[in-house]
Amino acid sequence: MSTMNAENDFASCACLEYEAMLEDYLGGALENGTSRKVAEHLKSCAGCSRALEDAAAASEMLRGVGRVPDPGPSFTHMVMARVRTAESESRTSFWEPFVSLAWKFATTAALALVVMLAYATHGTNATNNNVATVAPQGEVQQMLMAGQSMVPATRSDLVRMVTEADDAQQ
Amino acid sequence: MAATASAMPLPLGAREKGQEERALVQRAQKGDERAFEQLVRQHQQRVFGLVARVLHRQDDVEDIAQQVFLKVYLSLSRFDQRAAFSTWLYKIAVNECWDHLRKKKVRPLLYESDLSEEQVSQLDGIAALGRPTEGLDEQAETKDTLERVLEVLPEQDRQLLLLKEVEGFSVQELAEILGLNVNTVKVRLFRARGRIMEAQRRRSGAGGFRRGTSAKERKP
Repeated sequence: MSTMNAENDFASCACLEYEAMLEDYLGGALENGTSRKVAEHLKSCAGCSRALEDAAAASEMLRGVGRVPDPGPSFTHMVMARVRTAESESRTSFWEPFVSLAWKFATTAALALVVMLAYATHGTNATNNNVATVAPQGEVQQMLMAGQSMVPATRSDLVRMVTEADDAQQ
Repeated sequence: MAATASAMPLPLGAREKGQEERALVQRAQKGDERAFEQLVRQHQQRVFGLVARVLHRQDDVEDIAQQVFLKVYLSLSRFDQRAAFSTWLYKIAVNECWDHLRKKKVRPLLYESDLSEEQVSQLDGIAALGRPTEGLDEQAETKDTLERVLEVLPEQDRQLLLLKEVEGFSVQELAEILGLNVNTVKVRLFRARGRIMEAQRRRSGAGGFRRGTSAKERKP
């Protein structure tokens, strides 16, 4: 049997690499080879042995704490009630943007209808009152009259007009 | 080398259970309320335990646990089943607890690890005066002693130890839900056990600190 190193301090010895392994060793979660290696080390290291004893004693002691009890079926019912409430709220909130958009459309359409009706009733009277027959006057009248005379109706008129223009130039 | 939970093949029962749970999750994702209710029933005790251990206060445990399941239901469609449902659920639970503690701006509790030995013995004297000396149930006394011994640990180590030893979470699960390295969890668990035994010895007066370092010095 290996000599126990009674002075070995677990926190300061080179056994730090065994710490994680000791946790597994305690829980029986090590493979056979590794487990044997740790067992061998424990024979020669008092610090690790004591630490393991402490850990085992602490685990034993912690059994007295007691698990948090199951909250029971009332908890399940409460959760499902909250789920259903959230579901109905999310269903409402899904249609909410569409409903608000529909309201906006309806308001705009109603306003447009009011404007069109107002235009139809008042706008027609105003047009009738304000429209007057304006006879062309002054230069416009002369131009129109000149335009009438300047447009040749027949080929002989065109010849006459060209001749008159030539005479006027001469 | 240490065999981790992920490397070990799952026992047949666990594999079947996993498949059953996958099917339940898929049904719940399609809107099957009964499937979700079944999932709640299966996990409520562990979620309750997890929340209770992280919050360390009993007041809001039920409300937060309900909130956890509601969040899970509302985000179930986004869960892609790459991780185990339980891991995903417990992560949500831990985050919900942390959010809750942040929102409430809970003052960090004072632990014995933050006190000097003199202060601890003074507190013990005060506590002993307040305790009834007769008629106290032995079980309740043990529980009370344990609670006090656990107070020597920093908050996260206390949570780790209780979740592992009492609530039955595996090292792998704890590493995943708390976002820690597996080996870190193992080392912290192992050291935490040693620390509570030191505290126990100190209380009973059987011996002093064996490893020569105070709890405060070894606080991670």
